[in-house]
Amino acid sequence: MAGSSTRGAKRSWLRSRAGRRFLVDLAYAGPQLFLYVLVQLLPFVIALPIIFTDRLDFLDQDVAWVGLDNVRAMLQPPLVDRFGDALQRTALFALVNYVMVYLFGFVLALAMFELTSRLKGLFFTIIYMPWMISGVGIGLLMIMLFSSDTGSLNLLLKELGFGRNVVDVKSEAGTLITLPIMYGWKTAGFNMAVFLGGLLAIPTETIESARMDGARYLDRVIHIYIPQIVPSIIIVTIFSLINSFGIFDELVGLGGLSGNANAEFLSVFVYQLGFGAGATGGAKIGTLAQAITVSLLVFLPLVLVAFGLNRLQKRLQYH
Amino acid sequence: MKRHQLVLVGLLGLYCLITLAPFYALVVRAFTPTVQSTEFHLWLPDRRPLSMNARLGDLATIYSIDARAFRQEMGIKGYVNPQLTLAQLAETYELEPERIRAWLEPRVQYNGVLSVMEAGFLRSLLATIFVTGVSVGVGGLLGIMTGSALAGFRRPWHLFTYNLYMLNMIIPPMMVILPQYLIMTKVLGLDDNYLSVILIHIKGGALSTMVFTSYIATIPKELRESVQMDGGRHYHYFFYVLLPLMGTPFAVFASIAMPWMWNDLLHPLVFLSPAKYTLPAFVAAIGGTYTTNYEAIFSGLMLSLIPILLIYLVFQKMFVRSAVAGAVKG
Repeated sequence: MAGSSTRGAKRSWLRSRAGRRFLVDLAYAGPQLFLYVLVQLLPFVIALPIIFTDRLDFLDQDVAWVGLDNVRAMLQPPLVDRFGDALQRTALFALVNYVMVYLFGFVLALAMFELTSRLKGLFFTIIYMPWMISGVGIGLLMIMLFSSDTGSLNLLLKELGFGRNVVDVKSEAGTLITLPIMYGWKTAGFNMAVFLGGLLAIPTETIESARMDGARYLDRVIHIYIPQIVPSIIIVTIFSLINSFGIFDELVGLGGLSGNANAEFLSVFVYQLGFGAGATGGAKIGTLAQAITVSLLVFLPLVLVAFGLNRLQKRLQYH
Repeated sequence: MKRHQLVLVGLLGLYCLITLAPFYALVVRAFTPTVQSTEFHLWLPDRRPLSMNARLGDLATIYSIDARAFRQEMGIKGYVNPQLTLAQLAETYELEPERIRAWLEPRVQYNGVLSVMEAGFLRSLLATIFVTGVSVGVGGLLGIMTGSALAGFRRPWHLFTYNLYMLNMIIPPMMVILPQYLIMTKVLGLDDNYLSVILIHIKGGALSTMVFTSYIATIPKELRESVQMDGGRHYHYFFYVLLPLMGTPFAVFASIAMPWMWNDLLHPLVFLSPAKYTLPAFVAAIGGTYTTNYEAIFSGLMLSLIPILLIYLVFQKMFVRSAVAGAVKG
């Protein structure tokens, strides 16, 4: 009796105005949500518990709980050196890359903001163009430009009398210098657009009154532009952080999966741990469980930072 | 004031030239024979004509020429000594030297482009256009539907769902790719199927949900109410009122998501077999196969860039406008 009456109540609620509204919402949001849960959240939920096991790969039949052994394995030989090197390379790259965001994006945005010429549209189109290149493409362009003996830039510098093989993309220092430059070149247009969007949102009266008061250009940038575009700065910071730590495609182009040890950043290390053995035929350096552990160890703190920044931005927008 | 602008134009113009330089170098390198890749070329170098004194084996190595195809074409049965020069070959097998030349000459002269074409560039291009086109179209429609339900956050579950999509930003692709592969193959039966890559692209995420939800929230409630007053159903409102207003947010979504989908490497690499690779994976595979044939590698990169750059240049107004507009909205 009680069961049928609550069912009846439910049915009448679904017929009510609010209930019909709920059904309509569900009909529109449902399809994508179903897909999202199936191919994104479910895999995440499947992957999480694996970090506490010794699972070798997905076909592994003999799986045992090992607690936090996977974390310990990263801090002990033989993996600690590779993990440490990869972490160090990635962190250095993230830092230099963040400087590049301002060297390319912010400076270009300031220049575009002041420019009144009709060439503005053409400049924007050209500067944004490298954003269309795939990550593998960037890696291969780096090989093309900065390889020893065959790199176009090296050959040009030799022609101009600067000596042979000024840069070598496959050396430790070469990768760490050329990668942020090429990455900065690729993302220059995107970062410029984000900064420019922020600059264009500043009320013109604010800038005009500062100009009336005789503020010099540099003073205007420091005391008016930068404080006003904090939301843009936060967006760019989040993007730069997540992209720097996740950088993978460019490293594939640089040969990170085929023997270039200096291109072994964290994402390549994770790939090698998880499923690197099949391609090279060598011994597997780690387990799937370790791969998932490293990617969580590295990305989770990052995500918390990104979320914190995101909340900060939302708060700034409402004030 | 005037001089100040001139300096700006000069500096920005210089930066644009530097930006274009790698593209220019790529075109030159795509047509520079690998044997000349240690010399600097400002323009496409002159080709050295095919010498009949070249050894077949050397040609096969340098230009990645398929020796078996050559034997079949020339009607030679059995083993051919790769140490023989082309002139000796013509003599031994009583072939017209011109016939050998006619077959080998284009493969040497246009080595890069021809190698890439023979490796299946056009098929890969069509696959990329198909996957990206369907993904942008269907992904946009699903995003609009999601946005139309969630806009305004009228119920707690709306905000919860919205935050679920935001969670997408923090899930490293590398971490979920294997479970995803299992679900695609074992549950959905999409083994080596383009649909698996499309599903990943249209599953929804931070960008599409954020763009469409925030834009639809700015549409006045009265529009919806007036459709209801006239006795219209919700789908009338959706198709006749909402969809026509979605031009701007769709442009923002498409211009940011299209390059991501087009350039996605990881998912095609894991979900598809090499014969079905989309362009980035195809280019990566070319880099792996022709390890030292720089002409073929750079031709492959150049050819793979032409289509997306054409799309970009045709729609450049849209790309530029939504890049700046999307940034303001955040």
